[in-house]
Order: sequence, then C-alpha cells, then structure tokens
Amino acid sequence: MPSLDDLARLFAAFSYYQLELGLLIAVAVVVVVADWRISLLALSSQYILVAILLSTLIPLQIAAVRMIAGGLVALMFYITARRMYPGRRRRRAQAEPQTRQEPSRGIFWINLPFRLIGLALAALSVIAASEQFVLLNAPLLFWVTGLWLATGGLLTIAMTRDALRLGMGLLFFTSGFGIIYLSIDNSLVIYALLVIADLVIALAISHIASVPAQFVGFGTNPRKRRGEL
Amino acid sequence: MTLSLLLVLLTASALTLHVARYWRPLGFAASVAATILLVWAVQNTSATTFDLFGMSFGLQPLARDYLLAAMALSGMLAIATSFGDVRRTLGFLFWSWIVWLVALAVNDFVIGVFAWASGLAVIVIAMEPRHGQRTGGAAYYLVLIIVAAALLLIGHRFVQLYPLTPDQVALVDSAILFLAWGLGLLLAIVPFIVWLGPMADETPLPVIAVLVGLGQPIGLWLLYGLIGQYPRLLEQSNLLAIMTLGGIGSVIVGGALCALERRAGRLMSYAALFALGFILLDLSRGTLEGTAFAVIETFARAVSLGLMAASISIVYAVRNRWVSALALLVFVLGALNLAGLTPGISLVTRWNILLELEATDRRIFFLVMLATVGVLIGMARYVLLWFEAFTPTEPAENGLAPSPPPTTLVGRIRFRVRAQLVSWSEKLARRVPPPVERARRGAAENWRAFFAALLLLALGAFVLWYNVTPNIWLQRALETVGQLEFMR
Repeated sequence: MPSLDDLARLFAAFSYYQLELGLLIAVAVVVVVADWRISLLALSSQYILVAILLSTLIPLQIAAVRMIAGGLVALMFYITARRMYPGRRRRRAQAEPQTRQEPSRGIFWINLPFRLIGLALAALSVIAASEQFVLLNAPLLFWVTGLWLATGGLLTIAMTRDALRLGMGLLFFTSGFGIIYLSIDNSLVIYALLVIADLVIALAISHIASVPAQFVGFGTNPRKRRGEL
Repeated sequence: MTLSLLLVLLTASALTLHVARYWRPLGFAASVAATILLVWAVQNTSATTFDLFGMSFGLQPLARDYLLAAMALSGMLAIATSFGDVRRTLGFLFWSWIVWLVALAVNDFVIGVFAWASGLAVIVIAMEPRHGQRTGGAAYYLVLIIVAAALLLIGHRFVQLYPLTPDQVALVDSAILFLAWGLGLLLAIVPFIVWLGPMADETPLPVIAVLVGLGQPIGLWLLYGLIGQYPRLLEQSNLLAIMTLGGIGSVIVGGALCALERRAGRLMSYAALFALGFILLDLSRGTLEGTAFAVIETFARAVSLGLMAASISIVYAVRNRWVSALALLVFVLGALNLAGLTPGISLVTRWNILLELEATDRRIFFLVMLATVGVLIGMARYVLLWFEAFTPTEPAENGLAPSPPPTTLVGRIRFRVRAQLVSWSEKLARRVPPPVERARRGAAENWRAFFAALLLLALGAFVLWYNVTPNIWLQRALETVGQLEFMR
C-alpha cells in the first residue's frame, strides 16, 4: 500500500510547467468538450493538480484532503450524471412513456467555434490581468493559476445550460479562488472551509440536476407561471 | 441554556420536521411543538460567551431578539406549510438556522460569511427547478452565493492588510468595493437584482419569506460586526454614501417592478427589495436612531413577508370560504405593513425617512412616493386576482376510485397491510355511536380549517398589536443597538 512518502515523491516528480499545462488543459476540456465523462475526468484531474500545487504552500497531509474531497465530489457527480444521462442500453429499457418531456437541447448555449474564441479571450484577459494587478504576498504562479481557474469556471457557468456542467464551472471557480486566497492568507481554517464548501456545492448541484422539473407552481394549467393565481 | 444546547435543539427540530412531513397531522403537531420549543429555548439562552478554536461565540441582545423573531416566523411558516399537500420544504425552514446561528454568534467575519453562505446554499436544496437538468434561478442563485462569498472574503482580507500601507487608502477602497459588491449581490441591492425574479420563480413562498426576510439581513449583521472590528471602514471610505445610493435605487426599482408583477413569489421579492431600500437609507444615517429604525424596518419586513407567504400557502391548502376571507385580510395587512402604511410603528419609521428626503431632495421624495404607489398597485392587482381565483366553491365529492394492487413485492405487502387496517377501522367505526362518529368525521375534515383560521387570527392580531405599541419596540431597538460594538 502506498504511503504518504510515496505520494510526496510522486508529487515532487511534477514540475510547475507540467502542473500549469495540466490545469490549462483541464479548463479547456470543461469549456470545450460536451461529453460529461471527459469533463468529469478533467474535474478530477484538476483536483489532483491543485492538491499538488497547494502542497508547496501547506503540509502534504492537509493538501491531500483536497484530493479526497475531489474524489467525493466526482463520485457524487458521477452518480448524478448516470441518472441524468442513461446509457443506450438503459434508454432502450426505459419503455414507459413520460407525461411531459422537455425538448432535448445541447449542453452549451453556443457552438464549438464560439466556445474556442471565448476560451482564447479568457486566456488573454488572465494574462493581461496578471500583468496589471499584483496582490500582496501572492507569488505570480499562484496568482496566474488562480485567475485562470476562476475565469475558466465563470466562462463555463456563463456558457452552459446544463446544471451539472454549471456545477463543474463553480468548482473550478472555487479552486481558483482557493489558490488566490491561500497565497495571500495561509490559513488552514479557510482551507478547511473551502473543502467543505466544495462538498456542499456538489450536493446542491446534484440535487438541482436530478430533481424532476416543476412545470407549474399550482393548478393544472401548464401555461401558468409559478405563483400566478 | 447554552448556545451549544440551542444548536442541538435546532438540529433536532429540523430533523423531526423533515421526517414528520410525510403525515400531515404529525407534520402539523411537530411544527407547533418545534416552534414553541425553539422560541422558549432562544428566550432562555444565556448571553455568556465561550471560546472555540481561537474564536469567540456568544449571542448579543440584538442577535438574540432577531433569533427569537426568526424562530417564531419560521415556525409559523412551518405550521402554514404543514396544512398543504406538498410538505417537502418543511424541514428546510429550520435547517439553515443551524449555520445561521453560528453566523449570528461568532465574532469572526470569515467564519460568519461561510456560515451565512452555507445556510443560503442549504435553502437552494429546498428550491424546485422549473426545468429538469437545466440551469435556472436556483442554480444561478447558488453561483451568486459562491461568487459573493468569495468577494466578501477578499474584501475582508484587504481590510486586514491595510495597516501594511497606512499612508494609502487604496486597500480600504478596494475592500469597500469588494464588500459592497459581495453584499450587493446577496442582498439584491440595485443594480444587482437580476437574480431575484428567476430565483423567486423556483422557490416555494414560505422559503422565499425565510430567505429574503430572515436570511438576507444576516449579511448586514456581519458587515456591522466587521465595522465594529475595523472602524476605518466607515471613517476612511464612502460606505454610507454607497448605502444611500443603493437604498434609493432599491426603493424606486422595487416599487416599479412591483407595479408590473402578478406572480406571488416575484411580487414578494420585489416588495422586499423596496423595503430593503428603506433599511439601507436608515443605516446610511450612521446614527443610533437610524440604526434602531433599520432594525425595526428589518423586523417589519420579515413579519410582512411571513404574513403574505403564510396566507397564500393556507389559502391554497385549505379550500374554505371563511379561511379564504381571513387569509385575504392577513395578506392585505402584511402588504400594507410592507409598504409602511399600517398605522403605527411602520408608518412612523417610514415617515421619518420620507420627511428627511422631503427636506433634502424633493425629486427623490416624489420618486419614493411613486414607488410606494407602485407597491400598492402590485398588491391591489394581486388582491383582485385573488377574488377571481378563490370564489367560494363547494368541495367536490372525493370518491375513492379502486386502485389496482402494486406489482412489486414490498408494494403488495404494504397494500395488504393498509387494506387490513382500513377494514379493522371500519369495523370499529360501526360500533361507535352515530353522534360521536359524526363529530370525529367533522374534526377529521375540518381540523385544518380550524387551526388555519386560528393561525391567521393570531397573525393578524399580532400585527395590529405590534403596530399600536411603537414605544416598546423602539425602546428595545435603541437598547439593543446601543450595546453593539460599532456603536460604542
């Protein structure tokens, strides 16, 4: 069974450039790729890479907690996504007709070329912002990484109409914010609260994604909006 | 009673309500019991502080009064919800209070913000998205909670770092920017109001009343706690001017949106925004009286929203002519109280601000008056719709159609057990004398109408009493506000 020393050796094998490249790709995948499995993989890898990055700021044992939380979050999202997007076999098995079904729409509001343009603009804005503003005590590496993750997360939130993808964007944002905040305030309380916040977010998003639609608030007229008498 | 015991009682009450919601009479009984227990517990909570992990926890008199009102209102909303057919949100009226209690008791801004945001995130679970799997008001509200909490934490950090550069106020300015941004988002102060409507579309009315009426003001509590720790936030910034602008904007926009609205949730949210504007205007005076008036306005806003949500919930749940008329009366009382037109303390606090505006800028005074008319128009339109929707009708005969036995094994067992129980109860009923049986059936059919009418009468009587005893409330508000750290 691998020990913490093995984990430390493994973490030390990653250079800063590799970590940066990994996080760059993780954000790009969540913004560009529509398939939930690949995006979930990107989210999980983001948790591992951020834990490696944070292990240079805080003790390894504590940084590893983020990886465990990431594993739980990924598990929650996986179970929710399996319910939301059943495979071909399960779809065929579900023969029961539904009383009212929403028309199926894409995961994103906009097409792939526009998403790529959006990603490029976000990258440019991160480079420009990191050159223009400096936070006290914050090393440039953490500042740029945090900004990139937070901007990528917000971009995902802005472009998606899918609740689960929005949750992924939100978790990217909290990771970015966590890196920025921990680089200016090395507090373990904040770190612990951010880990708990990730779990609460995952729980709320899983609920929003899996709860059945409420077409009408009251009454039987489907054209009514909620709260209308 | 200690704070930790109160926390345990809150958790136990929320859990009990969450479980008891499946059976209506049990849900009702649990709601009543939880309300009485929690109000009693908060009343007897000691003001002693204790330290944990380097942080100090203790309930200040104002926080205790607020918690007392919050428990009573949440409990009253839980009772109103327990009458309905859908009782999923029953426990959620109390779940958030577990962490909001921490936010009210802790002396640390960071923990307070996390606790506040966690309570708001828990409320999101009580929301009901309109579209399956799709983003809507609930999902975007969750995003706002996270983003706003992050902004508040950064603002707080900047205030802490300010002593490193005492000759420059850039850090204080940045702190104010982030704090105003974060609080503006979560309180929906103009111009950050975009989320309010979509959120209201996906939220049950009692939950809106708890979230907007009771949850939002905790943010102002945290801000004033921070000002108490770092008075430079007021001394070296234009925070009060920002509050004035936000307050005037919220009053005008809230009133205008109310006039155009006919959905209950949105109407309540926009009317709450209108009232929030007056709270900000009171706070922006920066005096003891101004802050005491803001406290009274906050209380009045929460009570009014509670009254409106409870009356609408009851009228949907209990189809009875008398209950409907009583609910309408309570709704109108709540609406007038929110608009500041109930004769009494709400009129006094509102009039105070209006007189000051009239003396300083007459154009704003007229705009605020127009906004008040807008709220009245919105409420009057809703009352007219109410008359159309709830014309007294005789309840239809509800004959039970025979249902086929379920296909699953557990379902079949449950079906058989239920059938056996029904047959036994019928056999027993045949032995009971007819007058007793008639009385039992009457109680079974009308207990909801009876207790709903009782609740509505109590609410209406409370609002009237509260409005005709302004001195008690004003004196209490002045006493408790005077003990706050930032006032000292």
